[in-house]
Amino acid sequence: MSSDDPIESATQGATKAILDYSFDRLKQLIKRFGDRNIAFIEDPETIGIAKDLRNKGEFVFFKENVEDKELHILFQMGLTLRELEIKGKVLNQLKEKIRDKYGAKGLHIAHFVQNGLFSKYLGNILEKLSRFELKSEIQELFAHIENKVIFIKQKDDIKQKVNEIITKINAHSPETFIISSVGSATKICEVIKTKVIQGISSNYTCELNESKDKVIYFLNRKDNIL
Amino acid sequence: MELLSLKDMPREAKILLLRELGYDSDEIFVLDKNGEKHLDKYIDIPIRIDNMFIYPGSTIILDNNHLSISSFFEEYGDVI
Repeated sequence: MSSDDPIESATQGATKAILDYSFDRLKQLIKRFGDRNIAFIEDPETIGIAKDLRNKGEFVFFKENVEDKELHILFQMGLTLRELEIKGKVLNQLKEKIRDKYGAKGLHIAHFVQNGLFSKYLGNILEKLSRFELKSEIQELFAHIENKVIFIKQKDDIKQKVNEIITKINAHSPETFIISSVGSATKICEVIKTKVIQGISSNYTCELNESKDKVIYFLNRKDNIL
Repeated sequence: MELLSLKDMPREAKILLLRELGYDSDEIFVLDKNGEKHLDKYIDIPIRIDNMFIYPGSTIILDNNHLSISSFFEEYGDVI
């Protein structure tokens, strides 16, 4: 039914034009979809980021050494968080999804990768291990990451964190224990590291890897040092 | 395979598209054949029609978020 109101009529016409165009176009698109020539997505950037990150050397290397598909996804999530952080995007929604699906440990793994700790960790162990040992060490790290890596936050209680780290080191004797922090937390991270070194036996040496606003302390078990 | 952005597709067209593919919508979410909200297979959340990823073949509809998309690639390989 047409309207006597020219504005209303024009609006109806415009709406119909959009729908007509969409319908014709839709028929073509659905045909192409049926032929598997086209996929649809709201924001192609999501696919673009995922494809780029899957081709990164860091992920390719990880995939060659770890077969677990769940870990592949968590590794990609770490790389994605890093990429979104660089682009200044909000990370909380993705972090919530990772935590909901994979729990605190999954998010811990993603944080580990996000903060570039995997490549730094490799740099720390690469010279010390054979290819077979390297593979085994990487798998062991991700299987028990909660006993081998800790992130220090500005609001952390120093005494509590020191006790937590010492307990983990004494209980598991990891070949390498990583203490890491970013930004303003780097100061208390140094305090915590110093107290941990004082609190554990002399079986560990400490190596510092520092870049921009991040610090990473590698506590390496002495019997692992060649 | 071409990847077409749905950003500029009118809502009505998205709903028509879904109906052609055997789904439906309550104008907010994707509904399955039984009229139930269709859930993203990787993170079990209802999929909004303004945030869909639709892949051909057996027609996979996911929420357009990084976790689901990476999970999709991990399961199906680099198909796009």
